[in-house]
Amino acid sequence: MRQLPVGLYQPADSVIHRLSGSAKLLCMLLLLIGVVNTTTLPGYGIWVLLTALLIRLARISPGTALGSAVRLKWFFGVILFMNLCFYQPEDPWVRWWIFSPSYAGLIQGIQVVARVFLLLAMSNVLMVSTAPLVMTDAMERLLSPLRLIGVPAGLIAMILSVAIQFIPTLFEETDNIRKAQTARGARFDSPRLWDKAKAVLPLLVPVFLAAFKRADELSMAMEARGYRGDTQSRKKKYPPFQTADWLALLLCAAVAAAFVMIR
Amino acid sequence: MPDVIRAEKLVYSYSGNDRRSLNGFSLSVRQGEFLALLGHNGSGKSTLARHLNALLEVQQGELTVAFLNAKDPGNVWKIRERTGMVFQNPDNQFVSSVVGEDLAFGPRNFGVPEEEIPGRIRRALAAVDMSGYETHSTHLLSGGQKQRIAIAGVLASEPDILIFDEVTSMLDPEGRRDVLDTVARLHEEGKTVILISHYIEEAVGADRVALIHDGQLLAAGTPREMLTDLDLLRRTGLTPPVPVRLYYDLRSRGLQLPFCPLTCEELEDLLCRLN
Repeated sequence: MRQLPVGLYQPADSVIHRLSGSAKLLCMLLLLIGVVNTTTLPGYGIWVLLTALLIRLARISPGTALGSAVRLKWFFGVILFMNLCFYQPEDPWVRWWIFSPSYAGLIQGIQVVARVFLLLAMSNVLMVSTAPLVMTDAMERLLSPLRLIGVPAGLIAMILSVAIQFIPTLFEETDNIRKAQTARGARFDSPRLWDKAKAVLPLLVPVFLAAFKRADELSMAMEARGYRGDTQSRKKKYPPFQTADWLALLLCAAVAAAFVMIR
Repeated sequence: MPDVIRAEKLVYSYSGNDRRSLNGFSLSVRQGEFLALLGHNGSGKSTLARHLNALLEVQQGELTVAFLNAKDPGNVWKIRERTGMVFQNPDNQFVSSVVGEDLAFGPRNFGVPEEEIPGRIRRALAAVDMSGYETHSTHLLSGGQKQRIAIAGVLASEPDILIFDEVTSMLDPEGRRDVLDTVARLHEEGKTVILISHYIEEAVGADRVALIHDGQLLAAGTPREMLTDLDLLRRTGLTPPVPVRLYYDLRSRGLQLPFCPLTCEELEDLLCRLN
């Protein structure tokens, strides 16, 4: 398997793993509120420490937690550049053609990058420490109030979780097809963009076909195992939050509130 | 033993296709029987399998599965609970990447009380000889292990009838042997087993072999009757097992053997006796 674009669940026994899925999702939302309300350098310092602590507590390797964020370095570069040059055209250092880099732009760019990076790292901790079906249940539980207005919460949650769980399989398949086409002379490594584009297109078609075939077979297998979608009157009793869940929520809420108030 | 499955003159064609995938197929299966259903690609094997699990609606003919009339829409979920079906590609059967989670999927759908599920998972894993794998990731298992987990996923719903639809065709020889051993063991434990395959060797251990061709039952009988009949196998589009082929080749070259061996062990015995 090659590098995976998303964190994949890794079973382990840690404080974070033991938290209930919905508590973790809510914590994630609270931390998100905290991160986007951070505006000072020491504030980001605290977030870095907190994220490191989370990674440590979940007993996952820093590589796993930060991998997907690191792979987005070009994306971050573009964000930084755009913000630097276009954020505040009124008071730039220099003005050249359409570019007007400014100090405010630089700060803004760094902030956006830092926020996205932190959020990616934290959501990776969530993904790596939460089993897909637990995540499905958590999403279903949090979305269930929307049932009153006709939102199929269970269905949405199932679609998301199956989609996530098939990513490694599809990745492997893409890799196999890529190798097969390379063996027959496709040029994925060509420096010329046109060659690259020409090589990618024939790759997409079989990957999509294979994905549809898989979806068809999976739906058949799910039906055979009694899945009926949202129509099922599954009276699910969600386990009540444990002390640890409440504690985690309280801590995250406190952190989020602190950052909102400082701002 | 009563007939747990009874199909009479089943006809089925997929929408947008004039060809009949099943064309008057009739077959009965006794409770606790191990039936191997053989046929080449496109003979209607999988279409039949999907009928047995109420995944396809009966278009024409009669079908009872687990003593329930498959034509009654009210029986669909009961039939699916009593018949477990395992498919060809293990990767396309998992709903979760964690073994224990995946195994809980069926029982949860059938409304098994939550506190009963861990016990079922443990028993299902023990039945496929993979105890202790609850927290393993499905992505990291070998092909044979994946397919055994898929079987356990079906066993967790505790069905009486098990349908294996070409479950070994994507496995390496070792994985294939493990899965077939598991199938045989489940039969010994009292499950009704229907093994669908185009590998003729897999049918040798069955109680009964049914040959399907062009959506019709061509013949059914003991493995010895079916698998040593060259003419019948040729009409089904199947190659006879190696010992059978060898027997006929030797005979055509003038070597008379007392009987036609079905397995390699029998062939060995036969050859030793010549000495």
